[in-house]
Amino acid sequence: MQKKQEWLKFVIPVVAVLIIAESVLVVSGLDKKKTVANVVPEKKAIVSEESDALLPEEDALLHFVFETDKDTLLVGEENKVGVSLVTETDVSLDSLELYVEYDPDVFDVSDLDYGDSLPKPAFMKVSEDKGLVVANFMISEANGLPLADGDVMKVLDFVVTGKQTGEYKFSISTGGVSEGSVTMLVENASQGLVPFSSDELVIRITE
Amino acid sequence: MKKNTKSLLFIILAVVALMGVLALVRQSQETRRGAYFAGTSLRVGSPGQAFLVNSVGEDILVPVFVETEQVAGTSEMAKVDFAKVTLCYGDHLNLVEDADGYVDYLVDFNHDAFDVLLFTKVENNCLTFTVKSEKSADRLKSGMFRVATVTFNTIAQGSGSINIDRDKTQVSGSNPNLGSNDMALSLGDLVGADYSVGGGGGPTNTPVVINPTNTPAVPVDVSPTLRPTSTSRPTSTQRPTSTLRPTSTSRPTVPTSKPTDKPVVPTSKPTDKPVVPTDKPIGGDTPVLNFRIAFAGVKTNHAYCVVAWPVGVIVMKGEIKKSYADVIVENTGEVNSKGEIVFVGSLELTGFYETEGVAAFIKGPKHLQMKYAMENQSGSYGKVGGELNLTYSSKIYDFSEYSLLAGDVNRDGWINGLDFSQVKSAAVQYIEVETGGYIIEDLDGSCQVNTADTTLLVKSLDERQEELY
Repeated sequence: MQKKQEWLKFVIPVVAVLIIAESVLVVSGLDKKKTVANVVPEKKAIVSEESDALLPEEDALLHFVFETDKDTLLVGEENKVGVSLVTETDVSLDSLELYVEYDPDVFDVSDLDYGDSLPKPAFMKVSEDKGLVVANFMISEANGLPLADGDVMKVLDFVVTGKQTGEYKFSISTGGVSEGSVTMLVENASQGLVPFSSDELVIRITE
Repeated sequence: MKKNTKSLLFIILAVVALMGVLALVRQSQETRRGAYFAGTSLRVGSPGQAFLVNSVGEDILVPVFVETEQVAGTSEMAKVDFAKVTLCYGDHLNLVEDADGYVDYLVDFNHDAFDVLLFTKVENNCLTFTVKSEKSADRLKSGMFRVATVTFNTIAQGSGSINIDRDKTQVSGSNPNLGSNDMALSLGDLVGADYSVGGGGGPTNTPVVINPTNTPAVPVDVSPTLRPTSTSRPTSTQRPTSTLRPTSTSRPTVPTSKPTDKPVVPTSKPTDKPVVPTDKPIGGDTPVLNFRIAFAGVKTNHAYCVVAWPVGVIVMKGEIKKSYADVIVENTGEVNSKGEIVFVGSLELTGFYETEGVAAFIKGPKHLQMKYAMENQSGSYGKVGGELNLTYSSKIYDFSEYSLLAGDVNRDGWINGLDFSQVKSAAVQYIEVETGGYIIEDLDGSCQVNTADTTLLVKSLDERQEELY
């Protein structure tokens, strides 16, 4: 009997300590939740302030990447270039508007085509006057175009022909033609812009 | 045994106390004051936009945008019902108070997002304005949208920036977590914009000036809401002395003639009365622009909700231009070759004295700004300048074959994926309005947003892109 009482005397303080510890844990957990809500805005920057700068890669979960077999061409030689969208998150898009800048004095661009996963573009054209490859996709499906983490979706491909020697690049336009040529991705859920990053494709043309 | 029972009871009591503490802790979290339920950011102008004018005296239209973030723990974006914004600017800009000392008329708030402008105040080169929505939570705006457009007048050459004062800016909204009392939205990025006021005489290829080719150089927001131009500032209005103005938002509705089982939004036309410039030039007649136009996709068989759609008009010759907001056009009962209704408008060009070689830029409430520069124009003009010769009589220019392209529902001067997403979102819900009502996403004026509107938007996008590229 005496032993049981001793045991109880031990258990009661332990329970009390547990109560305090658990309360502390719960309170600190609530603080963490609040921190998350405040961090969100910083991660959701849209396109960079400077029209020629892109978001830091770590902030964007969608990436436009160029693909090509060779980055060195002879003058007059043709080569296929592709642009794909790599996603690192689950997202559904309402629209995808892509503007690829190039120098029409050094490249001919032809045979423009779009990826199988995309609907027929609302507008697609190689504008030699503006030095732009334009492709605007509007997704009619109510839930948009679903993309999963890890997807690599072909957006465009086209054939380039080098016209003069030198090193020249293709890049994703984030502003131009009086700020109309802005590459943008619009999310279905929020109807807002989705941050993205992109690389450039440098092609060397030799004789 | 008795002592054992007592100890057991004590333990049970301790466990109950633990549960009580947990419940209280949770409750206290929900009632904390000043906690944010989501984040938001604000910006002056669109990304990368700078406001440049060629000469002192010109107005600068400065839009302020807000973007809300996702509410933590939900898939919903935070919805905004209140914003207090303080914009600070340099000495080159001014906000001219009306006769009663207010600048409300220079703050054109987004009527789709808010219902009332509660407060404006100018102090130490800072404008504070407060807007409030009285809409139910499901109709509040979320994501990125325009809060208001402020019309600054330029008073000195030079450059500076317009910034948002973080300490004096607040945004709140509707918290989807019904158990929470947190209504405030935390402020993330507050992005200002630069401006530059030139000395006049040079070319104006700047973002806030109409591009002589048919391309709006920037989001030039010729808004359908009442926004007087520099030539028609109000001179006297009856106002209460309190800084908090009445918040009446009720608008007349037209009785419906057709039943509906779809979601119905209230009628909220951009405006019900035209703004007519009243300050006559001294010593001379005023030229008049009479014009016939058509809104793309607005046809006789379904246009039950095309009532008093106002247009903005800018007339321009060389560097001289004048803008007029909220010009009401009337249905002629005629149609153009595409079956679209032809509307007619008449505008006395107060303050504009050029009569030859003039171009007109016309923008509908949900339409791109189009350049009209020649009689019977049926496509893009594609050149600098214009060929309109204005008269003081009844000559009517017919622009109806070159319809106003529909789809700029966020009124940023472009038709793009943001507009498409907004229209599609309304279309999938088949949002309807009573006959005579107004929904900005209802591009063809059929009183319902549906696939016809998204199709019309895509067609407009294609047409405009073809002109640009």
